[in-house]
Amino acid sequence: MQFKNLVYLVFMLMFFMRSVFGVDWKVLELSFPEEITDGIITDLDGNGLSDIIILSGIYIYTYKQSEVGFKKAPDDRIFYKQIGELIDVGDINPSFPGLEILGISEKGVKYFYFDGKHYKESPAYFINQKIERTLFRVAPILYDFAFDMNGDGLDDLLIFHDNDFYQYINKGNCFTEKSKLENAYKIEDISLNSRILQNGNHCSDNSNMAFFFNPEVLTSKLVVFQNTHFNYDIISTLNRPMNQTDFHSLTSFFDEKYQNMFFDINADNRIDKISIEIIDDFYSDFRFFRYAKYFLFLNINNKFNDNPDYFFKSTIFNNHIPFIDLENDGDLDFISIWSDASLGSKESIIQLMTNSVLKYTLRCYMNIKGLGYSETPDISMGLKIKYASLSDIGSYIPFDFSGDFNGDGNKDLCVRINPEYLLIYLMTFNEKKVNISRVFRISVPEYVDKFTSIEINNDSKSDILLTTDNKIIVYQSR
Amino acid sequence: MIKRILRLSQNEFYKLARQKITYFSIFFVVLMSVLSGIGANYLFLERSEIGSGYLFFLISSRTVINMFGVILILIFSALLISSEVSSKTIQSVLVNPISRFEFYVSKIIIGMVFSVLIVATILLVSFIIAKINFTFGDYVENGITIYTQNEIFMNLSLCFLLLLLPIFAICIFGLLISTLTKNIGLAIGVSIGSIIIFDILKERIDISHFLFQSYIENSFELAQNLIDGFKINWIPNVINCIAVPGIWMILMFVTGYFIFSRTNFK
Repeated sequence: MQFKNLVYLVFMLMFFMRSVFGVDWKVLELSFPEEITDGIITDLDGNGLSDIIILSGIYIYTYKQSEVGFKKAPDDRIFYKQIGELIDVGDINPSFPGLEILGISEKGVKYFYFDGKHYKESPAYFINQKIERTLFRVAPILYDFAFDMNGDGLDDLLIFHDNDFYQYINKGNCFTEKSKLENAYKIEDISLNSRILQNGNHCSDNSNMAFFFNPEVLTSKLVVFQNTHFNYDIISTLNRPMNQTDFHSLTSFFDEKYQNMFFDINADNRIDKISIEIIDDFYSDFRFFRYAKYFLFLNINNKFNDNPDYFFKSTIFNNHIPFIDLENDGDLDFISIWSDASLGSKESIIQLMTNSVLKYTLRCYMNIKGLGYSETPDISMGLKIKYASLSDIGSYIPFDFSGDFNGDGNKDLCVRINPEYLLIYLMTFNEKKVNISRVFRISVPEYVDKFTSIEINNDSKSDILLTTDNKIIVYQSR
Repeated sequence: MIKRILRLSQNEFYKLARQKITYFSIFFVVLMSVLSGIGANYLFLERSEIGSGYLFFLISSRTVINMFGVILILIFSALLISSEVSSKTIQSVLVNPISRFEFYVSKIIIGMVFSVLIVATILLVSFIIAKINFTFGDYVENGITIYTQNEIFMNLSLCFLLLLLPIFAICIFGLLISTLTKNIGLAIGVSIGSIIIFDILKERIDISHFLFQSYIENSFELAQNLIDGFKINWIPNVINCIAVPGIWMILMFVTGYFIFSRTNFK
């Protein structure tokens, strides 16, 4: 009898834990023999479920998701080349089912189509043109290079080489010769009264997006090309935060001391300016990390004030950009991450030396319609992050704000609180205040380098992607 | 009763003025503050930069209060009763027409006076060095005034007022240990040792929020936020800084007095 009660108790406890922590995770782990150099998570076959495409070593691996999930083995292993660079997918030729895969290497562009069973390389659409690999690293980096630029339903290419952007228009069975996109990334091309068509992942029918990066002029931004008889206005918006968890690495970002970004901060369809000053001599402030000062200039009647309208600071971790639309209302909120460690603090030193623990304060400044940002943060959380060792401190950003784990439309906070697990804070927003409603945790392998939130099983709740040099692990919420 | 407590406190104050430990402590914290000022000449490269004065003032006072001030306050408060017990003067004190409660409260008051004296000395010396060697001024970024100099000093004063609460809790903790042992060395060792052990363990066993000594850092972190140019949400911080050390002060006072009132000193 007592044993029976104990069993009931255990089951009740399990039920209670399940109801409290709410999210149950299905784990997919994929290992590759060589380092992962690029990857995309997108719906290749149009079944509404995300598939995984990985460039590792000399092969592209595709893992397709069906109703029952992913298979352990890849659906396709495509020979790519010795030195791969970047891959993208696009609807190049509608007569082939699903999306095609394109890859840029130093010698040109390769094209792979799906024949109904497997991906095959095709000489059609192959662009045999030398592309300077080094320029991808130090100058504008274009990740989404295959998209519909002229609204004909066929994906075209926009490729950066020889220090310029070149477009290759899809004619149905081949690409046209390259034509230069004149000064595509020059600041003068941004018209302050340009209207942003849509502030989101997808643009309206007659516009398309590219994602590029120019450390000298525009820095990192998402660019909307509005096509009007092949005249391109370049206007910018931001659809998601960039951080180190992207497969791609933005190596040059934050290298310049003074930079500008152009985003629509307050969702008034006008481009606002953010001037950034990078503070490299952080040691004179007794800080452990580099940090950036962000000066926000709002576009008011197509003019910027002389003095900034807002000022923020945040520690720089890799390439984390602190502007995120947290409550999904179209404007950009600011997240400041600040290390509280100080040389004068006995506690900081004890915790660093004995436990490899570093304390951060995370501050969220919500952009409220009509009011702007408040002076004091709407959320201020002290978080003590335990690193695997002293040498790991500052090596990765332990915060991710890109996920929505309960599907309520608001961003939630995922924190790698220590090497063994992630904590997820569910956040709710209303006009008056911000609440951190519930916390649950996920155990992760210690060797994982990076994590990010993604949507993979199309259930409107974010999943979590963990990556190492040659492995990806996907935690799918159920 | 209040008059008797005040008279007892007055006596304790005279004792404080006669004790060598008082002057040694003041000399020591002044020396440490001056040394930190000398060291800062090498560490702070941009001394003329506006705001460097706040940074030095905070780092210097934080280091000296955290590393030495707390230890000196613990030593002083750990001696308050144990020294009277070991020298057996407590017996002659308690035969006077005063209650043990009055005696205990007067010890707490003098411990707090000593704490304020140490903290004020450190702040004053650090401020003077900062004023001489470094630059204060308004916190201005690209035309935006984040804080005026007056606002910074007003806010810093509030931070240091909040600092006094956990410092007083440290003092009452030392007094509690002092009531537990008749041996001076043991009282000092246990009070300092337990604070250091909890400092090391509090993160591992996740009890940091519940310990009064954590809130010493909390006050300095608020001041650091201010100097870093962040606006402070005062209400939750003030509530935490008052509530946790306040609850500990009450608990330790009640426990300490309970033990003291039942101890036979014959």
